[in-house]
Amino acid sequence: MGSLMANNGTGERLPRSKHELIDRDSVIDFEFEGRQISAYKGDTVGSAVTAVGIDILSRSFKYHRPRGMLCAAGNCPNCLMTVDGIPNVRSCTMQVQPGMKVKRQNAWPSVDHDYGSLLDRMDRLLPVGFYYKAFHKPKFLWDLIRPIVRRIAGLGRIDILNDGGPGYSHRNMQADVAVIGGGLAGMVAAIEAADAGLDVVLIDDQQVLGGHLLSDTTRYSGIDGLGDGTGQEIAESLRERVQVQKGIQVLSGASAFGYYQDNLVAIRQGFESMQLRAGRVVMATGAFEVPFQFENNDRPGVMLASGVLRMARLFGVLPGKRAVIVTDNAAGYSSALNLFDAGIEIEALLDLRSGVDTSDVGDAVRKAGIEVLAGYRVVSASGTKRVSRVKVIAPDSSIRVLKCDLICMAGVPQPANGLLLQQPGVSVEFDEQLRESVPTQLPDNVFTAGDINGYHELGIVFGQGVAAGRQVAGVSDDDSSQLRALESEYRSGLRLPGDSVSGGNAKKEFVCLCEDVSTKDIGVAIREGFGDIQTLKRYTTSTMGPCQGKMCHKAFVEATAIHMGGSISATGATTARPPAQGVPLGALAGPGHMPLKRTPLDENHRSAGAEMVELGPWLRAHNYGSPQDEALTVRERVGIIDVSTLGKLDVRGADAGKLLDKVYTHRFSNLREGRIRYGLLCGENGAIMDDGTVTRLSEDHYFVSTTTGNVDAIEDWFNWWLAGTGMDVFVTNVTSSYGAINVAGPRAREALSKLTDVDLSSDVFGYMRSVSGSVAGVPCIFLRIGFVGEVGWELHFPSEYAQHLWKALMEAGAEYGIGPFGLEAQRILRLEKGHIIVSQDTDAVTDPLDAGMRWAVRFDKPDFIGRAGLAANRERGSESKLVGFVMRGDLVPEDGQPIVENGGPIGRVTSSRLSPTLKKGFGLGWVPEKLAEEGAEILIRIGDKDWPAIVATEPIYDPEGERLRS
Amino acid sequence: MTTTGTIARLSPLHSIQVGLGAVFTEVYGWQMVERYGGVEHEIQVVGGSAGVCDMTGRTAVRVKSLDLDTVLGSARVPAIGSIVRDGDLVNARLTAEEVLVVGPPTAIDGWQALVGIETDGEPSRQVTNVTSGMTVLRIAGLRARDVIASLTSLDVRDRSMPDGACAQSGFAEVHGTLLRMDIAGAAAFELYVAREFGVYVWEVVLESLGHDGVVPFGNEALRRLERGG
Repeated sequence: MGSLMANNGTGERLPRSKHELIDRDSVIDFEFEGRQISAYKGDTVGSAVTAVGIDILSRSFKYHRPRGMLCAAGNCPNCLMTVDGIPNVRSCTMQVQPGMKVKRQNAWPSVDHDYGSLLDRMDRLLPVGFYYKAFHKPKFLWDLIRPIVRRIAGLGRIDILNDGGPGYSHRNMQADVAVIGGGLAGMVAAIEAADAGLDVVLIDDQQVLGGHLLSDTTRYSGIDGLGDGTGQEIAESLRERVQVQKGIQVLSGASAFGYYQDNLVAIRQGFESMQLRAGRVVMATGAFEVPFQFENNDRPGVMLASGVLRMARLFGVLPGKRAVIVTDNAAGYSSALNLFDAGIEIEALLDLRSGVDTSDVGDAVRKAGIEVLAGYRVVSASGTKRVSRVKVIAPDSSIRVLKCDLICMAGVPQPANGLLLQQPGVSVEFDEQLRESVPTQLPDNVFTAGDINGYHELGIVFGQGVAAGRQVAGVSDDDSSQLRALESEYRSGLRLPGDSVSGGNAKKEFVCLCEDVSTKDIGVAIREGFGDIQTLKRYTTSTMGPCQGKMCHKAFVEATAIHMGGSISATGATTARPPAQGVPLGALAGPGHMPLKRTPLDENHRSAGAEMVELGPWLRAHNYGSPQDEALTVRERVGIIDVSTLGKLDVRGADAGKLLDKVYTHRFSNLREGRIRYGLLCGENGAIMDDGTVTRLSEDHYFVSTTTGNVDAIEDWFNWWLAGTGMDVFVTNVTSSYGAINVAGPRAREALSKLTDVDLSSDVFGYMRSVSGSVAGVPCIFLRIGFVGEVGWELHFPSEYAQHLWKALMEAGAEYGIGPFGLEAQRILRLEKGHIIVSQDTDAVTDPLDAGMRWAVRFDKPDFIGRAGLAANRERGSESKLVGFVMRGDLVPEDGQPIVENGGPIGRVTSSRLSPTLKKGFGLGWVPEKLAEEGAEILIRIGDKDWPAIVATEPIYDPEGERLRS
Repeated sequence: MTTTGTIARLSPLHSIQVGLGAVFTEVYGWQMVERYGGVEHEIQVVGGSAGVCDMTGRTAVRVKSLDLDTVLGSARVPAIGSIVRDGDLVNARLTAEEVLVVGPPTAIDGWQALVGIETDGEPSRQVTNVTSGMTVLRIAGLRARDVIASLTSLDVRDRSMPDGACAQSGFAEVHGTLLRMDIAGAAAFELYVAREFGVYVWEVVLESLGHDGVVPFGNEALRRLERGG
């Protein structure tokens, strides 16, 4: 029996024991709410603060009731704290680190003296689902209350000043076998599978493998293949075997929180998230005790027996000195002996079952002098901030009060199947004999072993671990009949436990500790009509808190069954979904990497002081200081712009022209070599999908440009229409291979001519023509096109030469006043020319006829994608048209502002800018057909006023295209 | 007309490499990193953890045809998902109809002579030089596999992706092609991603094993490693 000893600031501890997890020769200091606390290396935050006498670890979510250590295993919500700025860390499993800063949460001004606890006395105002029915009359009341509710709701606070927080990383893993759970069954299954040559990943949420055995001092013997010894000794022996077994990778302190189709397991280990794809999965997640229901069953000092044992055996900490044990099964007697052996005085053992337990362990308890109260039930616990006594009721209804500072609940363990149930194809059913929900159907390649199957006897757990390991390895299992016999024997020896849920209406008899839902709340909700377990869950929010049902699902279903007067099987269960364990959003998001595309001229733009913007995945130069000045440079002298982001497709083959005729509205099979034609792509309904240019480089070879964001979709679109046709065409996306620069402006020819032998004169190199040549020694495809409305050339060249070419152009053009222009200037210039941008000036149903691009559609072609839709639209006529407009006054509308008539919207502005040519606001917009006439007046709403504008059906700049073709 | 002398062909990582103090060597105009500092240090860190070498400039040609055996010659067409070495060239069979041929850098007009494939003719084919569109990273070292595993859900264990295997997949959410090309018996990979993602993937790779887990190394160290250290 242990006795407490005080020492070097680490609180009262039991004497050293061989299997404890702490290193008593290494003391660590950390900060707890401004106070320094000493702990041993290996301590958890929870064990360290408990050791120094801190009982209240948190305040409850709704009523701000004091909560203390409960499970000590990372399953319950009671010990959530903020550690180094990260809220909701389970302090019972978070190992202490030097300098760590810890504070409790969800309280004001402090957890020890929380004004929020007044809510506990105002519970009549806060019934279950109160936000649906309370504070709504008079109407203004909810507006007053809602901000308060929102302010006090939630757990912890995210430190928004802590930019980025810790660096989370992601990793992908593969394995033949994933074994989830590092207890007895899991370790044995992993060893068996790895021994058969399989590649095994063993995942356990605790720092040390062993599961329940870590704190089990019971001596076991006579189990074939396991060896004799205490639970702790057996765990140590198996750990050593795992360590030396080739083929096992152990992930300790790792939480498997998601289990998706085809055995994809999502795991979090510290600041790393992993996606493990396993050929087979052995689910050995074990089982855990859950609380009993009685009034004040959440008071600090009310703990799971396994939690008390973990604290004592692993950390040398006794969370109380005088305990009442409450149990409904034989294992509770073992726990009582274990606790007694650890140095806890046992006031009494309450066995909820009627009749005396005559088993060996029952005898041992009585021999130890522990009073057994068979058939008794707990009525209530009392004590302000910690349990000081417990009221119990005898089978004859007499009441007795027991003094204690600890109530240890040792109920039938519940299978930890929350993760398993996420897998499609898994079924569990409530087993009336075992009184647990156990797996009844598993998909191929999914196996279960150990306590999760409802058997809590060491020999069976071991046998199932061996069997699972052999099954995944495809090895025949000669011991299966022996295992079946043991399971049968286990079942026949079971005594039915008593009801752990009172079914009463005590206000503070909690079912769901996370959400402060009591048995009374469940009764109220059911009376209000929420009789189905799924709707009841949502209404009461039971099982929806941080524990994700681990502590409450059993009691929730049982309470529902009692209130509904049905069986547990008929009541059903809630749906298990990821995450099975809380995961920080940062862990899901992973490292702050954003796939960004950089053009080959990225460095040049930055050197020139460009303002860079993200446009889709691309980083682009928005401007170099003044978009208006840049636009004037192009209009008056010469400008260059990086257009490398344009999509580029290499289309080659004997049937290339035929394919392009099929997908574009124009005709391309008759395009002469060295010529360019505008291309418009439509969907089957005739709506515009994309546009660009098509250049015929040679007989069977076309160079196609698309809009920046659409190239991947257009490549897929081409291949979609190629599939199965037998056409001799290959399409390759060469966007990355070619950098592109547009040189435009009245002095463009002069500037460019300095760098090339290509004859750029208009007579030789006309508009919409293409040649190949070199510029400053760089091989280029020249396209004479004019998106910005000036004479110019789009140069496409191998990307690696981009920086050289840009520099050469800038140097050659210096005497002509060359300057770079950015995206914004380009948009102004194209708008003056009336050129549309697909998706900016069009929407998902815009067709070329409405957009004034009838000239780009060849109805004389026998077929093309969208022809039928366009033909139907032509018959039907247009309701609205895309037109240009010029503002009468000085204002410039913003993109998207409404065009109105009689105060109501009749259209919208799609693009609008200040014209450097007109010095007026202008743009493109959709108007009713009746207004789509030159000179018609429209009204555009800017702010809360309507401003006049004049419709312009022709481009406001160079409407005849003389400059473009010069 | 203005003409210039040698025109530098730059990797998308060039300015980063300059910032790291790289020493360059020129190969057909390509500015390739010879070393960043001490070659011995690079070899040592790569051997103990992992390193990444920018190989951008390696010739990369996509060959598509319904009859690859005839276009390339059957000896140069490996099984899907594997590579075959052909002198200086490596042919990676990506799909039933596509082989990626990679090799040392060439002059801009020299790639056809290197790969030795007619760009036109029967059976129909598309032979596209995509060298300019690629960022090529060689990832080597003790933990090279861990680096790749951090980028992709592809199974890169020996049994699934042995030396001489190739695959297309997402790498750090970017499409890429991975060739397993071991160095002196140790797992090593060549990763091809679109040029515009070069800086992004480089940064992700360098951070993949935490601080200083992956170091950049140059071609001098690579040659030494290929010779066995």
